[in-house]
Amino acid sequence: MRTQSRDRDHRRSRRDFLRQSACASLGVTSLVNALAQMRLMTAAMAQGETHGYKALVCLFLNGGHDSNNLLIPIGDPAADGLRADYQSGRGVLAIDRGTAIPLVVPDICRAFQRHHGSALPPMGLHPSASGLAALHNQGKAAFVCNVGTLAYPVASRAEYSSGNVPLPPQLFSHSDQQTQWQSSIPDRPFTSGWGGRAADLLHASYNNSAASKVSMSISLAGINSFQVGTGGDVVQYVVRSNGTVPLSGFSQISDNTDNDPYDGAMNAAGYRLDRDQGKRLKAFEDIMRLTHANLHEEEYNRIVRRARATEATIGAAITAAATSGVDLNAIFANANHSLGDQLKMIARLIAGRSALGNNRQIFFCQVGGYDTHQTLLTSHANLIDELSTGLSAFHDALQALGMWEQVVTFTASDFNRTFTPNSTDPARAGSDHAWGGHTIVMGGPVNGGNFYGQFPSLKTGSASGSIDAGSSRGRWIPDVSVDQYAAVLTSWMGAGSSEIQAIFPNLPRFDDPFQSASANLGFIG
Amino acid sequence: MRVPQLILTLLSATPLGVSAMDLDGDGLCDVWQARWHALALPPDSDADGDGFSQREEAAAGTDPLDGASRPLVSVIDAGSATARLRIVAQPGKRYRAESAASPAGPWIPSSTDHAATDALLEIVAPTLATHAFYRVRISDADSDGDGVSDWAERQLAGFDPLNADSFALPEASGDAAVAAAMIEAWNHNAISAEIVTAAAYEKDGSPAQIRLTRSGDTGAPFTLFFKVVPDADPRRATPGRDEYQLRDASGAVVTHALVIPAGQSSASLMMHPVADALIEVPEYLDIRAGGSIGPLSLSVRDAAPVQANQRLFIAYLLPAAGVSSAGSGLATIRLSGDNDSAIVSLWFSNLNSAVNSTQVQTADDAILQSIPPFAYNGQAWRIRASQSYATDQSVLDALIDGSVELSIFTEANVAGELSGAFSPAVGFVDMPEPIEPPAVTSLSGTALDREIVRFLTQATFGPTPADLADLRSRVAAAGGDRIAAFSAWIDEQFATPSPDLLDYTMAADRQDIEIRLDPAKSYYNPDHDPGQGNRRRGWWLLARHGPDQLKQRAAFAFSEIFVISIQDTLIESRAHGSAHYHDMLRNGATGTFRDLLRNVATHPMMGWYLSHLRNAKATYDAQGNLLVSPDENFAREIMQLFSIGLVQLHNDGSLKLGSDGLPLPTYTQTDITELSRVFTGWSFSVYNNPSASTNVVANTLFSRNNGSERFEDRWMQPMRNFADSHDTGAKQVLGLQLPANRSGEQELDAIVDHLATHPNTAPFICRRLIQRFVTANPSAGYLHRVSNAFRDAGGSMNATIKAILLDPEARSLESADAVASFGKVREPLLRYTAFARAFNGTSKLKLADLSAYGYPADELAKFPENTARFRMQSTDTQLSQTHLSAPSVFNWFVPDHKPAGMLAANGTTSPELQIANENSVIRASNFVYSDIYESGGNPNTTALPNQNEEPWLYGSNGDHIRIDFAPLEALYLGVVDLNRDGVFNNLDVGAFNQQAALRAACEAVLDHVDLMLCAGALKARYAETPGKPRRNILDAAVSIRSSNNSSNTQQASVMRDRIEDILWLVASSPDAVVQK
Repeated sequence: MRTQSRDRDHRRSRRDFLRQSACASLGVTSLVNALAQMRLMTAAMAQGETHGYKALVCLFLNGGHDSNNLLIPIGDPAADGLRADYQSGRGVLAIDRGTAIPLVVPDICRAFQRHHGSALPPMGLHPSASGLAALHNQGKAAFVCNVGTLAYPVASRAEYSSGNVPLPPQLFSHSDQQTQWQSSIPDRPFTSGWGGRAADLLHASYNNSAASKVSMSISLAGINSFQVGTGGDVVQYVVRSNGTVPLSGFSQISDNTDNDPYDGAMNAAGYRLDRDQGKRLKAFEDIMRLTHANLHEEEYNRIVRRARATEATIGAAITAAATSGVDLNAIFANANHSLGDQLKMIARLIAGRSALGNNRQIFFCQVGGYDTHQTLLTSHANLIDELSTGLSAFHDALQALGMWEQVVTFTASDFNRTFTPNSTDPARAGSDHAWGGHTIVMGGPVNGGNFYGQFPSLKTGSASGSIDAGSSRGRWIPDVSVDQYAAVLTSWMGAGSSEIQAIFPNLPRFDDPFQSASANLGFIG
Repeated sequence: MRVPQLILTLLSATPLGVSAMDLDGDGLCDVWQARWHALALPPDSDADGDGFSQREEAAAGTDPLDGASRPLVSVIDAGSATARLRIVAQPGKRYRAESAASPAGPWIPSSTDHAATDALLEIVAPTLATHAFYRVRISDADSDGDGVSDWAERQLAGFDPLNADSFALPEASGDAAVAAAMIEAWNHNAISAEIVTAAAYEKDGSPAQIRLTRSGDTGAPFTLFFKVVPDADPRRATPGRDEYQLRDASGAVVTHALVIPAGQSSASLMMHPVADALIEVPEYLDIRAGGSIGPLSLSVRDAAPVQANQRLFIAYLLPAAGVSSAGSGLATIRLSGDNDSAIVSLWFSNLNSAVNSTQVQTADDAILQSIPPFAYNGQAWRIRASQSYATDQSVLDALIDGSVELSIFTEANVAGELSGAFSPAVGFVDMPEPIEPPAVTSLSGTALDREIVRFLTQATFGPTPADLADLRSRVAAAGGDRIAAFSAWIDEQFATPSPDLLDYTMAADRQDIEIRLDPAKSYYNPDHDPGQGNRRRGWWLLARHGPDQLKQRAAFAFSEIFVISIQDTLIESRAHGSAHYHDMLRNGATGTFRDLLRNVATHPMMGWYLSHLRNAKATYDAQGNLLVSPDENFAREIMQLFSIGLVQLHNDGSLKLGSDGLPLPTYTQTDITELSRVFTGWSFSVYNNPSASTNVVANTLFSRNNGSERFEDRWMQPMRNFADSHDTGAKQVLGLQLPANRSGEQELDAIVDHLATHPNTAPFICRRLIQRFVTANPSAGYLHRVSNAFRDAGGSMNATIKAILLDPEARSLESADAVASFGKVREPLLRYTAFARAFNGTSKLKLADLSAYGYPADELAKFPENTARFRMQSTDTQLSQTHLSAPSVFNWFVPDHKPAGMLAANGTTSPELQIANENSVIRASNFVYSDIYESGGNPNTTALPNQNEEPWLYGSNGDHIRIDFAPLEALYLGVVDLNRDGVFNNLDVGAFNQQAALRAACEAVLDHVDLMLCAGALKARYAETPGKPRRNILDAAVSIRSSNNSSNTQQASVMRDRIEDILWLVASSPDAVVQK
């Protein structure tokens, strides 16, 4: 705990420093310049500091997750207006209240205040989400309700329709909304993601550049917008979920004890030794480094070069992870799918963090298939099963590794989907692009077992209390902006208020997520 | 000592004289403001931060918005009496040097006023006693005293600085009045602008055009200053300065001013494109002019958006990785000529479940465009930035480099069921004239050796030193005509009797079983099941030692086209049926394509794999409602994968396009449904009765079961048709009428005849075969010639294969060395067989030992004496492949695989790279590594299992083929063992511990290994060049233990170390991995 208090002192002093020296100029310099300046300052401030490990895991549900059927009111429709609205609005897409898995709704829960007064309606989870329900009911995961992209707060359906409040451009478009979710600056063309900007600052503050062997931004799902930085040191690093195979004959660690002429090719610091084996390795790598006119040869060399680069960093982490004694393959045996594979590799990299040398790490993983225009009921059940078993296994892995308190996982998606179905045939019906939706946050630091943000009114169209954006399809105007949600997560990673301000330039337009009771975003800390 | 120094200060002597034309009274010259678009700038700030205020820049005539444009003075020569000052000047301005002993002054004039006539002005000024500070005073002049400064008159067309009334207009009083009217027009919007043509097109050189029109008098020419502003949206592209030229209507280049000539009221500004080879999205710029004209947005585009300029991309939709689906489909993108938008079309069939959504997306899942079901025929897609693709151009680049794919998500496969990457397609309405083949030049010496090795690499499982020597002498005997020698060799190969994989598998299985029947042995196991092990090992025997290399290589090629796979558990458990399937394919190498296709279609292993075995005709309920319809799996694949493919082809393999620019499908879903009815009623023709016996009887039961393992006769006889289960109705497939009441066999004959002679079949099948033998990217001419050979020979496979191997493109060493897309990556199995064959890979297990277990003597006689056999384990992990273990009917790799990036952007196919990833390339190198370095490698000194050793030892020690180092050591010793006593030691004076001799020894080994594995490419390409692979390898090998070379034992052991390093480094190099 002493570490933590020193951490806080450090942050306070840095805040003060920044306030005195830099903030005045932030208003007139561009965002990029502000970040560049702050990087220099935070790097200067971080000298000599040591920090515990923290990792943030972004799980992006690609295509627009219909979270209307993740978090489901399960009261008696005769007595519970919310359930009644759910059934009438969702129609053929409604999940039977008997099959949904009940969630514990704590006595102190502010997520229903804004739209449902003092009621604490019974809530349940999608029937395929048993693992996730258990995590919630054990206080290990929480839901943040009705989060979405916003340029400014939109108070009501009337305000939405009035045209007086600037809206995120291209609402309901995949490409734009994915980008805006990941940039958190919807009213400007994309230049960087908030994960990338956070990494730019936090890397300078918390990671020791001498020890750091790999980017603070690691993606299991290819290059993504979320981790695009502002041109600083942090370039996203793509890892595949299947790890690496070491090249035979070249051990990473020197072994000088047995007079073997084929001793390790590299010393412990990773330098090639001037020995036969080291020379052979050098010849190999010199050959692979050459550019070839023949395209097949060039592509082959590129693959080998990639393999060698990944082996050096990720391979060392996986080797280190193996010494944890935790059998991740067994833990993920029931999560044998794309998400499980990605989370398993993230668990490996967390277990092998000593080899990566970072105190702060942001991971990105992604699952596709959420664009459920058709056959929502069956598709969504499969998707939720993957999501729930994946998160459960990841929880088990982090617990076994003793890293549960140091990792926060959160979900994000393009948007929620329309509340009303697009067909009357339950076998065919799907839902279309909408706006605010529910997210999941999980981890030791999460104040789990509760609901945050504001659960929307499920009334559609112009019905009283409706927050349906301009239509009668049930497109919820978000109660929580991405900036607010993301700021809480970024703060947990160690960003101070000035850094938060630089990472989320639009944040001052919204209720302070750290203070305001109405924001109801105390899901961490 | 005199140290002249310079301080520059600019002072405007008369900033607001009468000639300043400051009509708006803001203290700045209006012509200067218009010239630099600085109307709204305050006089005393410094907008560009260059240290000079607007007022100072106005006096100097420089650009207030460009920090690089400012008064510049330097001292270029300071002698004892004078200093020369060089000034970046503005013609029309006057410059005077002043000097002072101190920056504080007093300043005294050092020169008279110099009028600048050029962009550079030199002034000579006297030096002072010790040192001097200079400054330059800039002032305007008005030579003709008309109230318009000389500088301003020079900015305006037609004004003569020496004539106060340049235009002599009746209605105006001199230049000042004309200038004032112009200033009024600029600043009060008296000019109208119109975009006549918004886009310039590079392809046809057509310019964009703006027309600017003045109102009022036209007596004097009218100068309008304009500027070019980059497009404000960071997602859109802006053209570079070298990508367009601005000209006036006469074609003269204009940079900042357009002149409406006297007597005319309007003029045009033309933006001419500068053509380049880049594929770019529209590049936008804005033109601003006068006080408030614009922005007028113009763009430079590659080509006009007309159909003739469309670019076609095709994605073949296949099951996503790890998804089991019978679905397939095709998607096309027609990219408009200006690359601004595209039309996406798709069709697909046989998905496992309902479609959830369909997306055009990037390989890393950024969604670019959704395709709703009603738009499958043509969804517009605007090429726009998305996610981490922050610019429109980056999205276009992704499409060009093969990173954009079409994915279909279904309810059963939420992460995607079908997907395919788009790549540029070559297609024509009419086939262009095929190009001429390259000349085949005569070769000798090293070049001939290289060519023989290339030929053997294409035609066998890898050249052996013996085969190389054999072909060398054949070419010599043919008078150097290698084509004739190769041709004769091919004929002999096709005539060579083939050993059967089935005979080997059965004998080896029998041995495996019988050896375990001794209750006294610890490994006693009367229920032992040999599984697929011996079928797999038998394939290694055939690949390594088969005398019929070309036929076996053809069988291997066929096995990657007509795929069955032991990934299917039933296939896995029918080792004898699988072996028989292999032998059937091998027989296909000497028959016709038509018969091969028929044999594949009726083989029960294929019947099982693609589910037409026991496929019954449709059944209906009492009301006539369809209950079960025939399985369509084989009906689809025999067309899609085994004969004609999805889209119509010209004879040279290019796509046949319809008038709408889209490819033409070869078949419809109706053809599949109709053809599926032909494949009803097929089942086993024989069976074992009782099932675990060798008693074979005719089968009369359509639903006959799969029988038991190792009594697999039903899997080795062609299926027959059962009339009761066959759909006897009339059918129509691909335009072929099949009348009612014909037998299944008759229908099948008609169908295979029809497919084998379909116009698509020759280019479709020949392209696949060329890819298996020679190159992944045959030229259109090569494919055209082979297709013709296929047709001319009635689909004869050996004629086709001969045409493939002897074509000038295959036989051109120049193509191999110079064409960037030539050749192919050796798939891991072939990479390893070549290694084993080049270096006499062997084991201690003798094939002859199987004679005791029923291996026929005539089979054994087909192999050389003392042939070894191999206990190779599955190599799925190490080599990503084992014979007959492809992941699906689409093989390990598909013929059109183009890795995203460089290859896709170049339209280069590289199928084998589909299984090359960061793990598999390292594992394949490691497999060779363990062969070279571990377990000694020499079969004579390493404990390999003998026949009577415990069976499990076969696997642990014997799973590698061991190579023979002796010939390589002989090469080495041939250089350094000077006294020829068989050892290398200190008696070899002149070589022992002599770097040059050791290097020569290593070189001898290296050149041999290079020749065998790389067809000598290392030496031919790199020779002695430092930093290139051959030198890298040689240097690494020679450097080994160089400090301890003086000991006999060291020298001996180091020889092996050096050879090992050479072997591994060459085998791992791209020159060995890629067959050229």
